[in-house]
Amino acid sequence: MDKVSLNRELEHYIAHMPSMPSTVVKVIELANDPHTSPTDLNRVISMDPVLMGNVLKLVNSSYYGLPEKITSLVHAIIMLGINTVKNLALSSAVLAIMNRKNEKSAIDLDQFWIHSLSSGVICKLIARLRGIPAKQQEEYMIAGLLHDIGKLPLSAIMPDVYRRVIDLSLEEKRPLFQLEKQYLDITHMDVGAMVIRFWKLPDELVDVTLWHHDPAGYDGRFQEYVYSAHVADFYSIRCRQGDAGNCWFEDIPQKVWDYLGLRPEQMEAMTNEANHEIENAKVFLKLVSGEGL
Amino acid sequence: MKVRLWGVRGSIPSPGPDTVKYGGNTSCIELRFGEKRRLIIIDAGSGLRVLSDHLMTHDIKNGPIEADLFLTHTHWDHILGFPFFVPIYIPGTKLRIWGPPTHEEESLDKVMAYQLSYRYFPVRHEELAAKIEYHNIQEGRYDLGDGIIMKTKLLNHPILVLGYRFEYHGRTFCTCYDHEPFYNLFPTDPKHPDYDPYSAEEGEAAAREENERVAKFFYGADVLLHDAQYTIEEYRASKIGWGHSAYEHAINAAHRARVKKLVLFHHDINRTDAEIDRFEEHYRGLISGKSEMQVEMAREGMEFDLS
Repeated sequence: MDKVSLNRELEHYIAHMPSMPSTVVKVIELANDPHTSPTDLNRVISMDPVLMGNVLKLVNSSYYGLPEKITSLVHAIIMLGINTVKNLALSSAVLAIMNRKNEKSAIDLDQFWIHSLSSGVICKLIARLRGIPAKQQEEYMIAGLLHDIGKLPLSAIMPDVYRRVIDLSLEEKRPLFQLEKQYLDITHMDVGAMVIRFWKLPDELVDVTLWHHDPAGYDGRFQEYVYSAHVADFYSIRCRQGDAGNCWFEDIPQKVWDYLGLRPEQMEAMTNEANHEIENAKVFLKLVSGEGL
Repeated sequence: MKVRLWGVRGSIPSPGPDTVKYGGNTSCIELRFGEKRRLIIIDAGSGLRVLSDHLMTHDIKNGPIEADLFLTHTHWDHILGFPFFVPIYIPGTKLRIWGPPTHEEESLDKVMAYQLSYRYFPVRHEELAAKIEYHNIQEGRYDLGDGIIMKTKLLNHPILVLGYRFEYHGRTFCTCYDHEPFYNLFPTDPKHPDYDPYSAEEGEAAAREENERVAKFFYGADVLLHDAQYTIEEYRASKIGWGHSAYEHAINAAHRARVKKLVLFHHDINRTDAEIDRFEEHYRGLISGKSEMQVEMAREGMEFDLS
């Protein structure tokens, strides 16, 4: 596929991105409930990178002349109202149902969802440990949740080629982004930044998608976000929560640990908590029954 | 700037013996600017039909009608007068229609054209003789020429709704209807099963910030037309989340924003003339001595001279 048609396909896909199959059942249940609880709506959106992106896109659209971008989902739900948010979530879920029937995907979307959520939770926990105020912790959650978002368009647009690239990464024991660069001449970081820009999300999230594999090379002003997402991604892979196609990861640079004021031994508690949250999320989303947990 | 109200009722036209004094037509406001009497209309509720008759009697003899029509939103009661606005069938009419698109990014011209499709009306939008331009607008400030500055604010309603603020020669007329104060949707009672301290606090802050932005939008208006569909008891009993305000909300917010004259607008369909009279006296009594703000109930034919 040449560069121009690839870009066109990417843009089209990004404008109509389906939500995660894992959240579909819950979204439909909430959309059909005339007394939907805002807390449940908030919860299901905050665990789906696409739903989260779509809601924040609407609230940050130029309709609202906001002085600064909003990254708080609670704030967005209050501004837009329950019904608007429900309809928005439902339309993404409908796309997910249609996609499940018609389209191939190079990555397992349920595993991708778990990796995203686990990275989001760990990223938030890093912020909490560092004493970041509660309001900002949500931004860290979003940073972790969305860091790999660029893989979804690649996986859907070129399922066979992208699957082959993922397999090569496993065979050659090299990070996935290096093979993306080599074989596709575009990485999931580039595509991720396209998605974040399309959703009109703040600049720190653009940098997170672009630089989460190269914190040492990053010289922008959002180190806290980029570094936290990098560490969260690393530990999410290491604790084998989910799979977004990448299993090979270079060591976290010392300057990242130093900057964040963290030590590797503090991470175990966080990955345990992330595991626990994912199990809770599965019960909430009715992916498993609540018994025995 | 001169303002005249042609429709003040909410939801659906409500003619009958109980609505004779205040009127049963839905939203339509005529604004005139300067010596040229430049015509600006806000909303195309059933009041637009009566304004149309007026224009056909008094204005058309001076030449074709040229107007800007600002739609607050496209719920039925705000557009149902449009097909009965006679100038749209007359060649030479120039109409610029402004309003918000939908959340789904459907543009205003498409939404308006649905109404003039065969299944709803015998004349199709493509068949209209007038020259009509559509402008999708959002929150912001617009220079309309002739010294007229218009500012817009998105309000709290189940779809995108704009409030309009017109500033002309130092005087200000403002609308804020089909609006409910923003409120925290998340439980704040720690005993509630869904209670989450972060959401509770963030929700309170978000609602407060959004209400402050609305208040800033109508701050200091000479005349503010504000939604007042319910009493606070009606609102609390069953109307929370419907996108409309109680009298108490409007009066308190307008007083705090140093509005000079508050006109309570978008009367409930079941509100009788007698009730509105009684409420006017009641609420004026409540604020008497506490606020210098004048409070009036919107009535068809009511005029404001802001010159």
